[in-house]
Amino acid sequence: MSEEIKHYTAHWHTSPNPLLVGFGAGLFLPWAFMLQFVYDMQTAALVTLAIGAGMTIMGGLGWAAETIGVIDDENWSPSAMFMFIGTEIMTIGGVLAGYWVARLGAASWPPEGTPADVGANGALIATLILIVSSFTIGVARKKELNGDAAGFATFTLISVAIWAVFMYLTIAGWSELAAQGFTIGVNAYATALYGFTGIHFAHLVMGILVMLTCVPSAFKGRLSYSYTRAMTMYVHFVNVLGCWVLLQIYYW
Amino acid sequence: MSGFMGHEPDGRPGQPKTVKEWVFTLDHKVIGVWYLIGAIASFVVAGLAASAMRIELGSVGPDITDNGDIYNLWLTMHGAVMVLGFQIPALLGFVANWAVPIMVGGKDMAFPRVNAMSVWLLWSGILLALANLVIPDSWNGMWTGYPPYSLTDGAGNTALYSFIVVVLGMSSVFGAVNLACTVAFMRCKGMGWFQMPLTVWCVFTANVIQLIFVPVLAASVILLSLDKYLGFGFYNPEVGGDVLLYQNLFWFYSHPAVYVILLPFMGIMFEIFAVSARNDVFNYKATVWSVIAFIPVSSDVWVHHAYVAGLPDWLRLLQTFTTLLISLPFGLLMLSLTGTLFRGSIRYTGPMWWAMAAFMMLIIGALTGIPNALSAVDYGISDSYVIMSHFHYVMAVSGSMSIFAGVFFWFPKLSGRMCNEFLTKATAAGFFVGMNIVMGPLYLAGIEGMPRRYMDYQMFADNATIVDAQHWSTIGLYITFVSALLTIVTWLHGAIAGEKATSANPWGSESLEFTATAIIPGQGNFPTPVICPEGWHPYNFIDNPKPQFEPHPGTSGHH
Repeated sequence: MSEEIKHYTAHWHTSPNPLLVGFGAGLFLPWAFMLQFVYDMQTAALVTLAIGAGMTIMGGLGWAAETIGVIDDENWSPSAMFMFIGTEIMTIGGVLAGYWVARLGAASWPPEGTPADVGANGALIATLILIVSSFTIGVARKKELNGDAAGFATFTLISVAIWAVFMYLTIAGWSELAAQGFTIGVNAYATALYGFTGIHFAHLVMGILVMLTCVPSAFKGRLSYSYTRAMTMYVHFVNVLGCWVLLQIYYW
Repeated sequence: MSGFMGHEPDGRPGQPKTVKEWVFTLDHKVIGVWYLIGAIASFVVAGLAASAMRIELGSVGPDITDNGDIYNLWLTMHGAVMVLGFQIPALLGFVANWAVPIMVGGKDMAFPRVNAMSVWLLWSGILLALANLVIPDSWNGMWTGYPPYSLTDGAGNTALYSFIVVVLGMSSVFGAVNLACTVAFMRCKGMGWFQMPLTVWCVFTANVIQLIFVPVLAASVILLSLDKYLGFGFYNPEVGGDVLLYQNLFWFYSHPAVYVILLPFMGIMFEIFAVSARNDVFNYKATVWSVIAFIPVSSDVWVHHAYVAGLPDWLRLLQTFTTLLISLPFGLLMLSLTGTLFRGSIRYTGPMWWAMAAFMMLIIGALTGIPNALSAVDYGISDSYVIMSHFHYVMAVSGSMSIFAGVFFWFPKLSGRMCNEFLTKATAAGFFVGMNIVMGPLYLAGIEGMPRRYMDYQMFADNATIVDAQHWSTIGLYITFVSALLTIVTWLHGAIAGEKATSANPWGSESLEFTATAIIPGQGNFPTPVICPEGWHPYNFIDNPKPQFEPHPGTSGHH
């Protein structure tokens, strides 16, 4: 057998992590939701949630350990992120269509049952804080380009902290509205408010995970420019989404 | 080159050998095989559900059940699993994963781990769908999931439906991003955009459509579950929501989904037609532009699914126009397929039988689709058997037959063995005849007014056309069932005991998966990066220069 064929058939690349994430997030987490909300089996839901979350987290961490910090010259991650953001925009656009239909078809807006103050000022302040993270992640990226891994990690963690503050303010806003009896099913505006801020919140959770995966390899001095560029694109997108939610829900 | 080709006399060195290598694989071809296994399993489940329905409809009155919920479950499983579990994964999973990276000369997909995750998400979706057969409170709201029914307890487990769609949607979106990057960035040296095989163009375009439209479907079903379980009111008119919003969001994806299926299966036809006829694809560049034209044109046809939902006349007229507009790029593709056969030196191989049969089914389906686009006609036949027969001809049957053609075409590269030629042709003929007997008479029943989705037709017991059509359709089912079963037997026989392939290129293709790889391509596909020399084209069957390879480090390389 020639050297080429030996090389060609020597071994197959494998990893258990995509399988763990795929089945954890795609099979067990949906079942946890259904056991809780459809079948009202709380213990089983909890166990399934633990299995699903455990598989997803283990797989995610293993995946990160295998790939983060692997420096490659194939700069495809930003292109993939660009497309992924496009799909995100379409998803949100679908929900937005629902909001517009309800909003433009309503005889009066906001509908009956909406408090006079839904926390627009608080949301504005929180969003202004959120936007700061676009600058800090920009600085982080600049540090990275200058080869300053520690600086990159520091500013990435500052961005994470800013997002955490925003998330705290969002939860506080929800609590305040819920205390006034303005819960998700009260009217179409409540559905839209909790729906859109909830979607944004989910993106923040995801974004924090994406940012944190950059940090360990940065401290080791190994940075994947392609990956971190994609990461910063996502951070900017989530911030723009926050501004959009603010304008659509609180100031329209 | 010659020192490499055909050096696999013993066993299958191009395939993984251990369970670990199969299950934890990151290789696009093995992942493609996983997609294929999942798709075929889904085909079996959805086919059994269809068979049960057809037997039930064989005569007036209950035949095998009088339980409407069970019939609804079959109907739901057939539609959802056939589209979401079989056709889309077979085309955008198997073909996109197994064939496309090799066809463009790449060593793998752009993101192998994301690719592996995508296939396990697909399997999660399939397992969720299969669970519907055994869980209490199973989902029976069809694959469309329309509210307000889906928001009621009678519809069953709406969350399951939402999760099936979302999980399969996630699989599709990750797969589409991956494939788009693969085609855009991993083409081998020398392969320009207009040197890509049409299968690649069709799969690539279908994935772009997926990227644009799948998220909207995901959003629409997520809102469904939010409404039902968490008290939101997107589709609840009592709090200002709108049920018709769902219909629009759903079809905004689900009509383009027809082209997500149609384009790749036509891509397979192009491949097999060109190779079998030894002809260049007729008007290759115009064909490529026609394929691309599906992206914008498919984005404005969904409203024809709402012709009878109370649209204003001006909108129905506009939608008639936009729906007819899709005939232009589609017609060009059909013309190109026909032109590719014209004056060709056609070899009627097993895959060609399947592809030809699929092509003829497609012609029937396409021609019967034109009147449906006219809103005045559609008013009379909406939700009748005419519509059902049309979409089975144009998408379901022709698509399935084209997928089978593709499996037979690439089978030697998958297994290193050949399928039995007689069985391949016999099953193609049986499937073609059987499905025409199943679906042909139902056009007549539809014209007589037979509505779709009904489990019985007592009210038409005196209508001989409808009763006879149902009867003949059930006879056709038995022929189709045996043919489908034999098809699977033919694959299994071929994989286990088929004649060993003696050539890496048994059909005489010019595409790289046949001309630049071993009988079964191994990890990385090519021993060293492949190069398409100047003047190379996948459909040049006259004087195509041979693909070349970059020298392997430390050797003189192969040329």
